[in-house]
Amino acid sequence: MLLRYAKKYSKFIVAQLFFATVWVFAQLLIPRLMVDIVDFGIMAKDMTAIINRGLLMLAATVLNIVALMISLYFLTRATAGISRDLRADLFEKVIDWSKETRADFSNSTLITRTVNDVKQVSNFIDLSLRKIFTLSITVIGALVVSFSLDAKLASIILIIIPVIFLLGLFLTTRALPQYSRIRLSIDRINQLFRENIRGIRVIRAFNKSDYEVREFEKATKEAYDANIKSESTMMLLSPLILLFTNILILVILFMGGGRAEIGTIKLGVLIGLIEYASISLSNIQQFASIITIIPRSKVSIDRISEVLSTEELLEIKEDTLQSELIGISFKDIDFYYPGSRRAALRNLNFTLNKGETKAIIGSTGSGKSTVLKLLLRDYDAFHGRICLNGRNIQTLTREEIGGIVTYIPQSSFLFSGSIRENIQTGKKDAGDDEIWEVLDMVQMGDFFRESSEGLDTHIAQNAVNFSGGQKQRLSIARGLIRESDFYIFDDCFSALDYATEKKVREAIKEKFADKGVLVVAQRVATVREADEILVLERGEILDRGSHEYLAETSEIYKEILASQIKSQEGEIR
Amino acid sequence: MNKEVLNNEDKQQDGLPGVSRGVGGAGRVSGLLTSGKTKNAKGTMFRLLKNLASFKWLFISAIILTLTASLVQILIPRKIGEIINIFTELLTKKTALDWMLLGKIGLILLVLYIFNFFSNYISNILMVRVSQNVIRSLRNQMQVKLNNLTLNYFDRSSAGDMVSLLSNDLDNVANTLQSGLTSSLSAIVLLIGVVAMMIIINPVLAFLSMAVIPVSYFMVKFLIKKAKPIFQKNAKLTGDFNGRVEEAYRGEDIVKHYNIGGDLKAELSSLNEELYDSEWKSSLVSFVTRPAGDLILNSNYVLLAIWGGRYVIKGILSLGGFQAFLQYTQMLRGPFNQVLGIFNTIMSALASAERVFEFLDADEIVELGDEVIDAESVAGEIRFEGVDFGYTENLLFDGVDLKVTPGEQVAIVGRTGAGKTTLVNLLMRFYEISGGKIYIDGKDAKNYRTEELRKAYSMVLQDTWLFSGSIRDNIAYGADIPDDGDLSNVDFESIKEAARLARADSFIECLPQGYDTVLTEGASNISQGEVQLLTIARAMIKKAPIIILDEATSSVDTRTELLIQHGLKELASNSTGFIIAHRLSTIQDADRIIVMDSGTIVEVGTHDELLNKNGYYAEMYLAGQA
Repeated sequence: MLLRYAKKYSKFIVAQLFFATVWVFAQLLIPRLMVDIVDFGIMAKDMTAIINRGLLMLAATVLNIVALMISLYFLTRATAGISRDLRADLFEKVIDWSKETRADFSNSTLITRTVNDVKQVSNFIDLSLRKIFTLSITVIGALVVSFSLDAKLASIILIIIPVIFLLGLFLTTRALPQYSRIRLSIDRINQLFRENIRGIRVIRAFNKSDYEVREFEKATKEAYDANIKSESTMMLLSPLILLFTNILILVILFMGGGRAEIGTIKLGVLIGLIEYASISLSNIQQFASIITIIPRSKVSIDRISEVLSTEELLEIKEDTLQSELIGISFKDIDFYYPGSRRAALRNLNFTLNKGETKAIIGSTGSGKSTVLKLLLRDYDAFHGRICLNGRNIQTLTREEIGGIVTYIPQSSFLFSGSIRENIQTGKKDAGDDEIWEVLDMVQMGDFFRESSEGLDTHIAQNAVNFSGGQKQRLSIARGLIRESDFYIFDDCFSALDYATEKKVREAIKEKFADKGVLVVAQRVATVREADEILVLERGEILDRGSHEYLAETSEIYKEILASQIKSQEGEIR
Repeated sequence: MNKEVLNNEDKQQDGLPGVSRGVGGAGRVSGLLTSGKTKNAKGTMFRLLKNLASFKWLFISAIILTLTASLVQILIPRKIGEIINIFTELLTKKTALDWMLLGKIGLILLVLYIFNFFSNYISNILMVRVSQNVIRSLRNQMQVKLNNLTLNYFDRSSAGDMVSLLSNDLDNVANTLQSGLTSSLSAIVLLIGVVAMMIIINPVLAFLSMAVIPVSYFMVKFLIKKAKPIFQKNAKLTGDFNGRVEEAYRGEDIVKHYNIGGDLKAELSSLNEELYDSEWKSSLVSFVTRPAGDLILNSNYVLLAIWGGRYVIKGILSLGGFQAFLQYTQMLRGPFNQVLGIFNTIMSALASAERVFEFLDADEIVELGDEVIDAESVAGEIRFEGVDFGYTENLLFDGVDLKVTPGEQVAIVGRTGAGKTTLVNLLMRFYEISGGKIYIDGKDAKNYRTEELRKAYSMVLQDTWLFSGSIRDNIAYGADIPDDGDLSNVDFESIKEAARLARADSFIECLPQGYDTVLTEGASNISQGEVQLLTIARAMIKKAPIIILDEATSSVDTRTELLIQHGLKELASNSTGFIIAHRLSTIQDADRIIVMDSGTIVEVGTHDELLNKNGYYAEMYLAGQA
């Protein structure tokens, strides 16, 4: 998957690899020049040879740095570019998903995938391009130079490299499972602590402090054990490789000594070989420790691919049937939530025409919200047909559905930004007049007229600076400003007191006299004036009719009414 | 020799394997940037050392081993130089090779190597043990502290800050302890030792190589200063982008149904472009400080090679000495880079430690009494006598009196901020009263240990907290569990019974995994009404003589609410009950309604009595506002 993304930056990557190679070349050239300084300069007592080679070394140093900077430039461009593209593809995809497609991913995991996992992948790309590549060619280069200096001694280095590499790999792979253990336990520790803060009152109310401390101590012990286990292994790596390197140097020195005695080796070569031997080994060591990042990156890469490869489940079908009918109709609808055994809706039939107000009432979990989810095509019905303005909902685009139906949700989510910007999410080009009109409708006009910043009043993230009722009213206003044939209110008056709710409802009734309105609610007061009320219980319409009719005939409606009757009186006066 | 350089570079850049540190080298530079501010560095250091006390021998051994390892490290190039000198003589004077001498030096080297290996390895392992022990103990201390803090502390502090103490500050301390401390120490020893060796070999050359240090130091400092705004801008853009993505995802309903996906995508794209721009720049800058420092050190190396070569030809310096000198120059580089960062690293760790200690020093609950309670024999009579209380200096309750007889169902109503929740907070002793007395069954509640007192209450809080775990465990949480037991000890039948009484059973059984359904953090996978049903079930499993419901059913429909009230009666018909409700319809059948306004009880009576009185309650009721 990454390769596909890397392709776009192949020029940068090629340039980066090229300059990294130059960098390594210059890096390896310096000890080679030192060999010559010793052999042709110092041993031959030739000062000009020293200075000439010294200047070459200086040039190599400069080349080294320049090549490094250029390679880093291309590297950062490519790495940042790939993360940008990944992020873009992720949010473009996720934003378009329907609820049904999105059901397997929680919001927090989607955010983690778009933010943290992309970061992790970018670290991985950075390391593979910057480190893994240069480390490998450095080792190869060092070996080549060593062989050109003295093949016999160089072969000792060649023999020991795989040994070190395997050793490093062995230790690293032994420590690896511990790393995921560490990560899990740290996550657990943070989660427990965070939850303990959030739930401090509940914990105290139920005397569970000792229990929480015990659970926490289990998690810290787990983190401790995993850390000790992994580090005891990993801490061996660096000293061990140092030991190997030193012993290798000693061996080279002794074998070199024998050769020097019979005059078949020069001192400079010997010094050079020692240098190249330590370069190779330390590079191998780094290589082994960098490998630990691969499994972690793989997890991130998989998590990102999972999102990118999830295709929208609800496809838009070919238009087959079309009629002039204006209205919403549900015909014989059955629905099951994915994975659920019990029907959330069963044999549901109803229509809503322009100029009509209908309402759905029912207990928590009776399926009220589910009806709306189908109506907005968050999900597809299992059986039956839903038509909007005479067209099967499955043939409509998201934009077309949004043009016909305005949905005002139960949870009043507001974006951070000004009040104006928030209301304008309902209607992009809405002028201030229109905005004031809808704010007045939800009884918030005076509130903002009195505030010094008016429509520029800022809404913080999660709208923490507004109360639940205010948020709900702003969310309603944002819906009211939209232009469509039908308006759906999903239990969105719940945080309003009766008096305010009544005023808001009256304003809606007046403005939308010729539109179709569907209200979902728990309060009888909210639904009593509807042309038809559907009483929903366990996914089925048990009774339907006007308030007066239901109050006489429907058992459930009577129960609901009974549970609210006194406050009704209070409200009616 | 390059090995030291590369080793240190590796440690600094990528941290301990497995510990992510941002983009490669960026970790190092930003580490240099985040200098912490400490108020009392000495005191904090002392206290941190005190935490080390139980591991002091491990710690001291680790330090000693690190020091000896560094000293040995300094000797090694010198010995190799001696070997090179033997070879030089062999080649120039054409003498025979003294195998004995060579063997002797070789043997010494071998011993040094092995000693170096063991002392490095052992000191590493000891330091891991010390730091992991300290961190584990600090973590546990923090959790214990959390559960002993007064609730005022939670009112004042943000949860994010507290979590950050645990996840960032403690981590910072741990990392510094584990690798920072010993490697800094060995860096300093190496630095001093190497410089000493260089002076012994040749003072002039030594001076030459020192000269570059201040130049390099100021250059790196300068670059870091220049880099700071770039990093800050990148951090800000990252925050902006992440915040916006979060909103786009969380506001999915609006985004989809109001067709603003396109606009949002365009906005995110432009933010993403900006982020890309600042991201590559800031990571490039974070890399640049290293090559810049390297350039200076490398040119120095070349200069020394030429100068040193001249000395060798002149006979002032032996070839072995020359080779050793160059090795020392290379050895200098790693520690040098590290010493540059030591001060900042240590200061930032101390600042972190200070914040942690500040938390550990915060006010704790003071236990006033030590008596135990027999929850089953509590009748449930409650009396407030002249109770004074305020969250701040200003008193909210000023001499509140109240008497509740056993078995009475009391409803508390009033506007937001009237003190309804405060009343139950004081019953539960979440806060200490500043004056007056609260009696339970005629006995001053202060005589009981807090935990004992709370055994008498079963409470559903306004704050609908559930932990991430199965539904079954969340309900079981309300039950008493043995001291070393866990939630699985709670009988499944009693869990199901509590769920049934709270009317939560039908939705739970509808879930694909039933009672084993795992709730995500914040219980975002079930509806708010269902969350409330679970919190009620959790309270129902704890059979206590006094029941408190604080806005327990605000998200539940009225019909279900009625059913739950039947459930409560079935569970404990003779319990004393306190009910706070948003909807007045909920509490109309209460034995007594207490009306509160700004901390005072303004009216008391039954629903009908209060309506007839035509006072505050009647007004509130008619306005339909509670």
